[in-house]
Amino acid sequence: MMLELFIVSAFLFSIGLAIVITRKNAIFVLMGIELMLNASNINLIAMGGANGQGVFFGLFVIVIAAAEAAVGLALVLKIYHHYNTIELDKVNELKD
Amino acid sequence: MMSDWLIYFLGAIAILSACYVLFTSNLLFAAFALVLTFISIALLYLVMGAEFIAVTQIMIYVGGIIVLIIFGVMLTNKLGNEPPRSGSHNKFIAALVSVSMFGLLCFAIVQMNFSNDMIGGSLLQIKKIGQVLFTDYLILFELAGILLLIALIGASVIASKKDAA
Amino acid sequence: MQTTTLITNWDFNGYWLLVMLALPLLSLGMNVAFSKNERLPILSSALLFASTFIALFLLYSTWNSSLKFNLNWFSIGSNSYTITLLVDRISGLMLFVVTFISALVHWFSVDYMRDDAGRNRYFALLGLFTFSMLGILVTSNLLIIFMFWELVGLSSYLLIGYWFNKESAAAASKKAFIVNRIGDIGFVIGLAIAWFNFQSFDLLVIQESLNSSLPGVTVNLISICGLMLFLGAMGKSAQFPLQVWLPDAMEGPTPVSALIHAATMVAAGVYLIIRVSFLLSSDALLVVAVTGAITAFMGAYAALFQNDIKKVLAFSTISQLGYMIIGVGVGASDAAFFHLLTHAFFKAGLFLGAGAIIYAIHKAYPSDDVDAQDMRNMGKLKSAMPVTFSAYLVFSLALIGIPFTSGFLSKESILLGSMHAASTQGGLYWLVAGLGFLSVILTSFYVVRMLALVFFGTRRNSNEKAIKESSVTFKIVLLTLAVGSIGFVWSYNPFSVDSSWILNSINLRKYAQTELPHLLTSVLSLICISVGAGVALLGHKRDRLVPKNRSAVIALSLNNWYLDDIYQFIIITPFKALTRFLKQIEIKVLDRVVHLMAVSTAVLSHVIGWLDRHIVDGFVSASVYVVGRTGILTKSIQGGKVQSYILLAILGLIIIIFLVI
Repeated sequence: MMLELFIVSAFLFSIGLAIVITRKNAIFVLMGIELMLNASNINLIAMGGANGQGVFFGLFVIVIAAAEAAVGLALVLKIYHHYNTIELDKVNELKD
Repeated sequence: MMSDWLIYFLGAIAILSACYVLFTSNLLFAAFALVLTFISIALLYLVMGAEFIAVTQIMIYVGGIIVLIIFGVMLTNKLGNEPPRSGSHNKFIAALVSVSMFGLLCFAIVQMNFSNDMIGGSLLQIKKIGQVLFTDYLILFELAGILLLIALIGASVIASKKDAA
Repeated sequence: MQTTTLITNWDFNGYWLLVMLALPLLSLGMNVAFSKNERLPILSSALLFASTFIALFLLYSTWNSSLKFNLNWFSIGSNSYTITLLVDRISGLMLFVVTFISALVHWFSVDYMRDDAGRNRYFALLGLFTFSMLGILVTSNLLIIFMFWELVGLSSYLLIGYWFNKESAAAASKKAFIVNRIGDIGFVIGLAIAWFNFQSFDLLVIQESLNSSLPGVTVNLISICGLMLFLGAMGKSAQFPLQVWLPDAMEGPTPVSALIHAATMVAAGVYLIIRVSFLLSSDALLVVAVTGAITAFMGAYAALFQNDIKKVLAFSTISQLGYMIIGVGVGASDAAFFHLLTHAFFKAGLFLGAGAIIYAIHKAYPSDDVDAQDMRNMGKLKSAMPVTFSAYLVFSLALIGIPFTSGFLSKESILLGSMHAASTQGGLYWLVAGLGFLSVILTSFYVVRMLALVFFGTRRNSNEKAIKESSVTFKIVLLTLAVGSIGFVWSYNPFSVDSSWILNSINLRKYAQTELPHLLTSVLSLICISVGAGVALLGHKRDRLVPKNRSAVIALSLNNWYLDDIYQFIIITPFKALTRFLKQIEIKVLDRVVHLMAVSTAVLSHVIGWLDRHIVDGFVSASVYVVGRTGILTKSIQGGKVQSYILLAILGLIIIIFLVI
């Protein structure tokens, strides 16, 4: 049973990675990140540990994910104000 | 076994809806598909016996993060009759990277050879979780609270209209 | 180089030796530095006299034990070159004679060159000349000797060409220099053979290893080495066939001629051959003796009918040098050395006397239409210049070899040696002895002729009052030299060669004395002298000493056996033809080849230029294009897109993990 859970989580992680890499929209990228965090969380909860530390780790991961989402969205808004777009292929000031 | 079938079923829903997020071009549909994924993951937690986590997952992700994301979508798109759309790039190489990542992870999982026992979160009741949180993990708990506060303040500062610089 | 620490057994005398060497050099430096100072010549003379006294002191202190110092000069690899300073009896005597004659010549020149504009240059060169000659004498290292040898050649060149504005003087100096070079080639070859055989240039070392007869030493090579060194000596000492430069060297100032003929230049060759005579095998000695005999005869013959007083003296020098070489060749090196010393005195006296006469005539006839050196313009000078005459008479008699003079003793010992060699070895040595005695006849003839022409007879082209006796300086110098030419100075018994202190002190001869040839030689030479003198006196009585008609015999004498013409014909003309031929080749062939090469180079450079422009530059621009294209391609990776960076980072991570697994 654990094996199946791990594979599901690996699959979700890979999809999240693919989203982060491929999608142009910054909000999609945030979604991909959330997906990857969830995938790792599944692993943590599934393993659990002798005293259930896994659950606590999962809990903190969710908390951090929330914080990350808030900050990330704030950044996205800022980028939008600055460039008037959140298509990442157009935000390429790093080039120079 | 009932729970096995549940896990397969919920896992399939999560994967499919995640794939929809990956392939759709409509932002809002993607957000709703993500909700579906999160809910199925929460149900997976229930199956594993981690009720507290499952509830937290639904509350924070579905109730908080997805709402934030939808707000973000609305704030960053000139909404009219047309749905907010976005394309994708780097498809081929991203597929390559993702597939090889998946293969790598599967290889690692198979190599690790876990015992198939289910040591789920069911061993810990909500009451006990509360006790442990405020005893053993007190400092971490407080730090998490501070982190959330900082994130809140930071997000509002960053997103504020006024240019700090 | 830290010479002071490397000198072994350095003592008081060594410093004096250096001081003696330094004094002529000091004279040179002063005359060069203060080239306008009027009084410097006197100071130079004083320096040379000081040098003479030091030489005398050195001679005294080294009489019983020779002075010898080794200086490490430099070392290449395992070969270390040492300078050996050596003063034994031979070089000590030579040092004294050279410095003494040189000092007298200096003093004489103070008056003689009084009116010459460049006299400081003259005295500087005299200093250099003396210094070079002393350098030859103080060392036993052949290489050092060679260096000073060349310096002697250089300074003689400069002094013969002292009046370089005169075409003939310039030509004469050039001739002397070139002829000397021919001899020096022999010297250099001799040096090379010596080093090859003995791994040393030091004569003492060579003599030692020759005595111990090392296995690697081949007798023939040593003989060749000796003969090559003899060739060098032939050039310097004007031996046949290299004697042609010496008559022309008369173009220099007369005191310089005195110095060259008496003490420095020509003496160097004889000195060298005396020093290296131990290298010569019996065959080589025969060559030396025959060369000397031929030279003695040719020189004496050439002197017979010369009209120029200096030419007579020059040819007599060649003849006397021939005698010295005979002495070495017949194994009587000490006799040769003895003759070298006595000859130095009387020949210096003769030249300085001639100089005084020329000076006087020059004063009497300031215009240039009278040739002051032509004996036909002289005559009856005996009454006009009595002191000069008496001194000149002593020198002349010494040159002939009349008893009671130094010349008698030294020439006697040489003739004795040649008689001995002839009687023991026979063959060509009879020729040598015969030529020797024949030359005695000729010598006595031309000397008596010279005396008769200059001092007796009728005054030919001069008025009574014009000719003045020489100045005090001239007189003192001439009288000093006259004392040195008297037999008693050299031997207690002026009839016996064997009681000469010189010969007894340096015993180099290789045969035992016997009574009979001694007497025979004396009688024979006296007969020869009287024959020559008688003929000359007869000629004087009939006033036929200056021949009216030019027969072939006289012409042969006057033109010095036509040697110059023979060389002109045999060597110089073919050489010039060869140079013309080479010039033609140069123009016709070499220039064309060069031209062709230039053209082909130009063509080639055009081809290369084309290649450069189209292939090399093309290659460069192709690589530039490739690099540029690659840059454009890779620029997309560095596209400033965040996701590309993530992608690449993860790709890298995956690759790393794959590699680790």
